[in-house]
Amino acid sequence: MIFDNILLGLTNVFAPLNLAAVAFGTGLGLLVGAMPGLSATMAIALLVPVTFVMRPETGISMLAAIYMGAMYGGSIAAILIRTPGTPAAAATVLDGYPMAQRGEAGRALGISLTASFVGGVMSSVVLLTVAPMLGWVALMFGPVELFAVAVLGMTIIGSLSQGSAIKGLLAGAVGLLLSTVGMDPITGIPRFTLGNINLFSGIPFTVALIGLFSIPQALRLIERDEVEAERINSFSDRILRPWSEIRELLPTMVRAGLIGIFVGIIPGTGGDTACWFAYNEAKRASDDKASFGQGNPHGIAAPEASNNAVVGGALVPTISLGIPGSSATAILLGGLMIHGIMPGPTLMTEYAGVTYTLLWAVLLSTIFMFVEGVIFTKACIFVTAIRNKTLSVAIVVLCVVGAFAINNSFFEVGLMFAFGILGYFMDKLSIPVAPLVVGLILGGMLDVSLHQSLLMSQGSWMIFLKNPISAALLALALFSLIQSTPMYERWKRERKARKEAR
Amino acid sequence: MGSVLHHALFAAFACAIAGYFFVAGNSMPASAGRLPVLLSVLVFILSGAMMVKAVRSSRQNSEQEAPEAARPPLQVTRVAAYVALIVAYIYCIPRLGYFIATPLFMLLSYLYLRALGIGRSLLISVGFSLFIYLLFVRFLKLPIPMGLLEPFLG
Repeated sequence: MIFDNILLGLTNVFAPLNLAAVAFGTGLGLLVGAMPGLSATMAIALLVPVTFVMRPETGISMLAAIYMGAMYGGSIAAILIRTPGTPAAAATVLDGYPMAQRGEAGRALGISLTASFVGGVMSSVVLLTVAPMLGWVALMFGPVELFAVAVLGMTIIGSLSQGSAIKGLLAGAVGLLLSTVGMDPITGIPRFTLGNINLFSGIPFTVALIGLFSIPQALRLIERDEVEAERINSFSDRILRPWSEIRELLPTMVRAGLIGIFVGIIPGTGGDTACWFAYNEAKRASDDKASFGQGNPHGIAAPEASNNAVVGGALVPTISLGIPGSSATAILLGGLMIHGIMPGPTLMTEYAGVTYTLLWAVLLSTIFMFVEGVIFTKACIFVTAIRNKTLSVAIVVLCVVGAFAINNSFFEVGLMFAFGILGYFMDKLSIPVAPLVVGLILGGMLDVSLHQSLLMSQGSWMIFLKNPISAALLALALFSLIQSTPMYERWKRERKARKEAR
Repeated sequence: MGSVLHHALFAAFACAIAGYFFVAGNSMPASAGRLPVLLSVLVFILSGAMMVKAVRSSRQNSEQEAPEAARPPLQVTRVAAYVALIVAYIYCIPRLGYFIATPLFMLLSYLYLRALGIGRSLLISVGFSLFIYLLFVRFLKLPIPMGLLEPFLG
């Protein structure tokens, strides 16, 4: 069954339209990633409405390809203008820019491209093998286990979010709360709609995420005067690197790729975390630590392999359990939802055609990324020169038309903007937005599974503890909460101090 | 202290939302109101915890006085004016039509933000609106309100 579906996905992905969508998406991702100030998440959010006219597998493959392309694209700005194009390329700046300053910009970009390719291929292979197996296990889950999965997903995302765990959990709880707006899925009672008919079907998830990810970015781009960046406007050395150089870097790329996959699989963490883990690990393993920060090729290979490896890793829980591994995959899930495909274990069965095409599209986009990277990287230099204020206005226009496109409703344009302002203030207070988005997605699953479980147990909450899988998942959720508390941190510090004293 | 005030405002906002959900949820049948009520209690607790943490961090920061990173200052007036421009833009679309409101918004924003000169602002505003027209109206067949341009583009 799984093998048949894998073959079905392979056949689908080679359909001319899907090939074109993946190629276009990857190229667009390269451009978006190269523009400082535009993140992959925002680009995917803005392009979700464009996928309306496409078949679900074509649209979702294009969005995944943007994600993959942007991960490499981010390094172009990092290497040439010392400003990461995406947060996931932040560590690349440390060694990429010094190498470019030495007149080896082509070499730095070539190492980055090859490392991105290696990381991308590794994570695609893991995605193609692990996700179907995990999805097969998840198929045995009933409402009790699904409730526990949703609780675990929320607690992990909340407690592992950047910044404070309390803020992450608060954002997640607000997201879950807002997801209950609209008709109750079991009784059909309208809830918290304020009598507004536009809210009867709930808060449109895509509208909320366009606002949350794009409007704050548009405001951030204009809120401070732009500082003129030092830049490298051209380069003459080759991007395609000789095998001897790649062979030497391969162990670093593979190690960083594994780190990226692992970090990606954990919900709530993404490329911005993985790149620093991988960079530090490469530095730790190196015999020449002093050269890190001065243009060491391992310092470029490690973060770039890891951030592309995150793409496949983050898609594993997204596809198999319906729990997004990162903000970008949350939006991919939203893209599926607007095509009527609901997140959860049924993604691997009822919608196998779409899901398995997506799995192959991730691998294909890695190959396109390498080819397009070799051809178009030089052409991407010009987009790094676009000014923030120019971009900001264009983002607002795209947000408005994108939010309107979903249901042809101006109410939703207003709602998008309200979420945008909320996101801007959350950003100012360092409250992560990703848990709120994931709360909006998982809220439906949590609500329905809670209803069904309590109906099965005739109102007894003990059903969640009597079921061994659910009890284990809830224990894990409790642990993820405990490990984010200051008490646990203090206990860990004291234990370390005691060990050192011995 | 500003940080504590900002956190307090956000906590109050979250509690106000949670308060509404709590009251309305309690007046619903148990099965429909159970989860929202539970979640509102969670929001109350976490808002309180966030406030406690903000006060503690503020005390620690005032003791340590961390040096401010060298960044250009935040232009609050510019952000507020830009937000007002966006609100006016959204308000005008159904009245003037998307393809009048959009180039106008872009042009005014570019001029206000001093992003580009008049000529380039005009060129980009019209060019970008044309791109939106081709993508969303011609390709995606989206019924965008044309307003005053209905006889020409409708």
